[in-house]
Amino acid sequence: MSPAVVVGFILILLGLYSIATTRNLVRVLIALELVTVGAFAALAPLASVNPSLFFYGVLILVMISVSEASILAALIFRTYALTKSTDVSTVTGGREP
Amino acid sequence: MIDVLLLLAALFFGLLTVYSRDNVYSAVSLASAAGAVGAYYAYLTQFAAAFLIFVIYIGAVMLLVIITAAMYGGVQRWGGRYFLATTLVFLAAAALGVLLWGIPPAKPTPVQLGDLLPAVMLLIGVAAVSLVVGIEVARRV
Repeated sequence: MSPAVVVGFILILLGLYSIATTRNLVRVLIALELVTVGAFAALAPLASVNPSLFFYGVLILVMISVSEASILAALIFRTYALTKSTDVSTVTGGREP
Repeated sequence: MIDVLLLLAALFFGLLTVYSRDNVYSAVSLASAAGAVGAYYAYLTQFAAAFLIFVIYIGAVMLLVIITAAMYGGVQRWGGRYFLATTLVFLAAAALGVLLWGIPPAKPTPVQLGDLLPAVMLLIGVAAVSLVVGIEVARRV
C-alpha cells in the first residue's frame, strides 16, 4: 500500500471521527472537507496507472466538495439565523417526540 | 523524500485541523493540508490536477470554509495574537529576503538562489499585507 493511500485513509478516519464527536455545524463542514482532502490523497496512486482517469476523478471530487460545502454553508447560515447558534442540538423542531 | 515530507505535512495539518479548538485555525490548517496534497500532485507532475486543487478547491471551497469559520467564532477575538503572528511572519520573510539578497550564488547549485529571490519578494509582499490586516484587526478589537 502506497504512503499516499495510508495518509489518505488516516485523514478520512480523522474527519469521520471529528464529525462523530462534534455538534458544531462549522466543525462538521471543516471535518467533511478534511475527508475530501483525504480522498484527494488516496487518489494519488491512480496518477501513475491512468492519468486521464485520475484527472477526471479529481475533477468529480472537486465538484462534489463544492456542492457539499455550499449546502453545508447554507445550512449553517440558516441555522444561525433561526437559533442564534451553530450547535445542531439547538435545532429541536422536526424531531421525534 | 520530498513526497514523504509533503504527505507528512498533509497529515500534520490534518491532525491540527481536528485538534485545534478555534474554527479559523482549524480551517486554515485544513487549507494547508489541501495545499500539501496539491503540492504532492505537482510533485507527481499532475499539473492539471494540482491546478484544480489550488485554484478551484483552495481558491473557492477553502475560502468559503475559512470565511464561514471566521463568521462563527474566529481569531478576531484575539487581535493581539493575530498581530503578533503576522509580525513574526513578516520579520521572518524580511530576514529571509535580506539573507538571499546579501548572498550571491557563487556556483550553480541544485536550488538556484537567483530564482528563489522573486518568490521570497512575493512572500514579503503577502506578509506585509497580512501585517496591515493584523494591525487593522488589532485596532478594532
